[in-house]
Amino acid sequence: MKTETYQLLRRLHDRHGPREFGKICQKLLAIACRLAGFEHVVERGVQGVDVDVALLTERYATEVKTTEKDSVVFQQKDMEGLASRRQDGYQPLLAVLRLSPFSDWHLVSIEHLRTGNLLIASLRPYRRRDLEERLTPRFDEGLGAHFDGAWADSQSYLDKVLRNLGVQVLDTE
Amino acid sequence: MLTPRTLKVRGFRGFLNEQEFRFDTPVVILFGENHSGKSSTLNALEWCLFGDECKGIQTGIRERVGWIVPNRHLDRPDVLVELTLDGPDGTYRVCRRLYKAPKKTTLVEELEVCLPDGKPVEREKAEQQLTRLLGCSSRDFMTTVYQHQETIRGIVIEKPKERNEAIDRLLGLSGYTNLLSGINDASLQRRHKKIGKDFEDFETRVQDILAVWEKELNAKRQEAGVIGNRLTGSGTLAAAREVQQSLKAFAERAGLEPVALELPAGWQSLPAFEKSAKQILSELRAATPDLQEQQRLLDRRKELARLQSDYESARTHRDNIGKKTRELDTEHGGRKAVTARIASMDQTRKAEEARRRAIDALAALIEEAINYLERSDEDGPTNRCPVCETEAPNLLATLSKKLETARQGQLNKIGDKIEGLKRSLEALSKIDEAYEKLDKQLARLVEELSTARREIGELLGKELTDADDPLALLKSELAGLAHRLKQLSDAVQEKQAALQKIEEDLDKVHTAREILQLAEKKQFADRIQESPEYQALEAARDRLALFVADVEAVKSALLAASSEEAHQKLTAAERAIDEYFRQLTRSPDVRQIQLKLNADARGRNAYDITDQDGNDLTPILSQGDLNALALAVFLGLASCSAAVSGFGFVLLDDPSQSLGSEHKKQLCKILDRVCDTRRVLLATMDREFYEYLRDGLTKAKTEYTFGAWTAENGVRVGRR
Repeated sequence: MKTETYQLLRRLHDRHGPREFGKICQKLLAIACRLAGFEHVVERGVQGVDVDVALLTERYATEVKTTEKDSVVFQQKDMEGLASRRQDGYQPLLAVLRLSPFSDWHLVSIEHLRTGNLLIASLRPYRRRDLEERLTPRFDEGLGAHFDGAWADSQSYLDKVLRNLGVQVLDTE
Repeated sequence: MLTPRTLKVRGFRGFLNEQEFRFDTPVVILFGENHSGKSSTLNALEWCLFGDECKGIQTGIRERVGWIVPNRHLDRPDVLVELTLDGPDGTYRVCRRLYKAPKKTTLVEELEVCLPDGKPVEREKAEQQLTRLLGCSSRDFMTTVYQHQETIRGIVIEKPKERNEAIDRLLGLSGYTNLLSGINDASLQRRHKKIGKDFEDFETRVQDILAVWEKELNAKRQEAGVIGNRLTGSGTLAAAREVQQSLKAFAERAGLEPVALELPAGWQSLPAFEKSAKQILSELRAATPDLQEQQRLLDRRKELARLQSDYESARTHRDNIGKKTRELDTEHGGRKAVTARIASMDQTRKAEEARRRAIDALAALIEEAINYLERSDEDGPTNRCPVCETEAPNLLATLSKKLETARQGQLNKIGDKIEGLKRSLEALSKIDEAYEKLDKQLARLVEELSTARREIGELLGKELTDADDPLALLKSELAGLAHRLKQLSDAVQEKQAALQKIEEDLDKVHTAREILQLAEKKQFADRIQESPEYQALEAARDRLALFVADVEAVKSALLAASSEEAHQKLTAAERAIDEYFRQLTRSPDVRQIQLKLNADARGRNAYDITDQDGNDLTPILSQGDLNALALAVFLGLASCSAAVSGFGFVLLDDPSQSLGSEHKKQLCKILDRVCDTRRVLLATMDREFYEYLRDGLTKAKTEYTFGAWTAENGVRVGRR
C-alpha cells in the first residue's frame, strides 16, 4: 500500500485500537466498493458476512479480517457464513488487510481455503488481483477523504458516509 | 517378479572357498547348527543386491553395526557374491566384489550387472540398473522380503511412528513414505514462513523508520505552523520568491549593488538558494551605508570622548599643581624667598665655621704660651704673674683651666648654631625640591594640554586659538554626534528589522523545504513497491506460495494414495493375516485379528492391530504370540500376491524362534501356502522344525545342510 495510506491507517489503528480499526477498515472497504461502482453494497456491523457487493451479475460476499501479524484466523462460522451466500449468487471472498507498509488488501477466493490459522503469504495463489486493482485505489481515495472524520468519530462518522453513498448499513441500532 | 536362481559365495563373512547354491525349487531349506553359515548365505544374497546399505545402524539390526563383510581369516580379502535372478524380462546376473587391490590399503568394491541380453554394465551404471530392477531400499527389503527376527518384530512392538512406517514398508508403500518424508524434510512450509518473517522484519524496520520520520515531520510542521499536509512544493517556491524579491528591494532602497540571487526551478534545489540568500543577508547587513556611517560616528565619538577625557584630566592636574604651588608660596613666601634664605643661611653657617676655626687658633696660641711658661720655670711652679709680677699662686694652672673653660663654652655655642643652620638648610632644600618637581609637572601638563588642544583642533577640523575653549568645542561636537547617532540608530534598526524579517521568511522556506524533504523521504516505501525489482520479488513470492500450495496438494494426494493402497492391500491380506495368526497361536482369546488403517496427526497411515473387539493386541500377547503376530503379518502379506513388492521370494531366518511345537507345525502349514505365491528360502537350526518342514511342506524342496564351521575350512555345505 502507499506510504500515505499506511500512515493514515496506522494513526487510526493507534488511536482506536485493533478491534475498532477492523470495523473502520470494513466500512472503508464498503466505501471503496461503492466508489468503485458497485451499485448494491451492504455493510454489516452485526454478525454475518461483513460486506456484500453487487454490480449486475457480479456479486461478492466478503468476510473482512485485519491484522498486524502474518496470519489471520478464518473460522468455521466465517466459512459457513460465506458459503451460505452462494445460494444468492454471491462469490465468497476473504478480504485480508495486514497493517504494514508493504501489504495490500488480499481479496481471496475461499474455494481452496481451509479454516483455522491462515498464513497470509499462503493466500497469494488465490488472490483476486482484478478486484484488488479495482478497489485499492478507491480505498486510498476513501481513506484520504474521510480520515479526519474517522479519526474523530470512527464508525458513527463512516456510517453516515456510507448511508450518504447509498450503502445499506446493518448495525445494532 | 524377481526370483533368485543361483547364488555363488566366496570370501564373504564365514565363507572361504566358493560355494554355489541353487534356488530353483519352491522351497530352499538351509539347515545347520548355530554359526555354521546359514544366515551368512542369506546375508550374502542381500549384500549382493544392496552392498553397504545393509550394514550399519540404519538397518535397525544390532548385529549389523560394525558388520565385517570379508572373511577375517583370509590373508587378502577377496569377496565375491554372484546372484542370478529371473525377472519379468529375462535373467539378470548380479556380481558384487570386495577386494584389496595391490598396493592399496583400502578395499575396492565392484559391481557388475549382466542384463538379460547378455550385456554387462559396471560400477555406477550397474548400481543404477540394479536400483531400477529392485525398486526398493535395503530397509524395505528387510521388511518386505527378508524376515529378520529383529525387524519383523519391530512391526508389532516398536513405537507407533516406527511401527506404522515399518508396516508401510511391508505393504510396499515406502515409495509414498519416502516422497512424503522428502517433502517434509524440505520444510517448505517452515521456509515459506521464514521468508514471510524476513519480509516482516524488513517491514518492521521500514515501519520504525517511517515512525521516526513522521515524528520528526510533525515536530517540523508544528514548528512551522503547518497544518496537515497543506504544504506544497510550489507554495514553498513562492515563499522563496518572496525572499528573493525582498532582498532585491532592500538592496535597491539601501543604494547597494543589485542582488544576484536565482530562484531554482524545483523546491528540491532550494538548499543552494537558501545558502546564497543567507550569504547575501550577511553581506547586506555589513554593507548598509547607515550602518557604516553609524560605525564611523561611533568611532569619532569614541575619539572625541578620549580627547575630552585627556584634556580634562591634564587640566585638572595642572590646576592641582597650581594650587599646590600657591600653598607653598603662602607658607614659604615663594621659591625666590626660599632660595634667598638658603643662600643667607649658608653664608651664616660658613661665618660661624670660620669663627670656630679662629677661636681654636687663639686657644692653641694661649695654650702654647702656658706651655712655654711652664717649661721656662725651672724652679717649679711660680706664684707670680710674669707680666705684672704680682703674687699669683697657681697662675698657670688657673690660666689653663680658664682657657679650656672659655674655649669649650664658645665652641659649643658656635657648634650648636651651625647644626641649627644645617637643619634649616635641609628643610629649605626640600621645599625647593618640591618647587622644582611641581615646576616640571606643570611644564609636562602644559605640553600635554597643548598637544590635546592641537589634536582637538585636528579632529574638529579647525585651528584653535587662545580664544577657543577646546572643552566647550568638544562637548558641542559630541552633542551633535549624539543626535546624528540617534537618527542613524533608528534607521539602522529599521533596516535590521527588515533584514530580520527577510531572514525569518528564509527560515520558513528552509523549514518548509525540510518538511517537503521528509515527506518525500517517506515515499521511499512507495518507490520500493513501484520498483521492477520489488514487483519481480512479489511475483516470485506468488510463485513460491503457489509452489508451496502445489506441494501441499501433492502431499495430500500422496497421503490419499498411500492410504488407499494400504487399504486395498490390507483388505486383500487381512484374511490371510487373521488366519495365519490364529493358526499359529490358537489363542482362545483372539477369535479374530484385525489390522485397522487410520491416519495419524500428520495424515500418514497409522495401523492398529486389534482383536475382534477392537482391543490393542500388542500389550497382552506373549513373546511367542508377538512373534507369531509378526510372522502372520509378514507371511499374510507375502502370500497375498496383490499385496506387496516385486520380489517373488521371501527369506526367513530362524522363523521358529520362540515358537512351541504346535506353533512350528502350524508355521509349516502356513509356509506351504506361502509357497503358492512366493519362493521360500528358509534358514533354521531347529531340528524339530526342520523335520516338520521336510515332512509337512508339500512343494518341491532343495535342502542344504551346513556342517560345523572352522576357520581353516570356512562354511561346509552339503546338498540333499
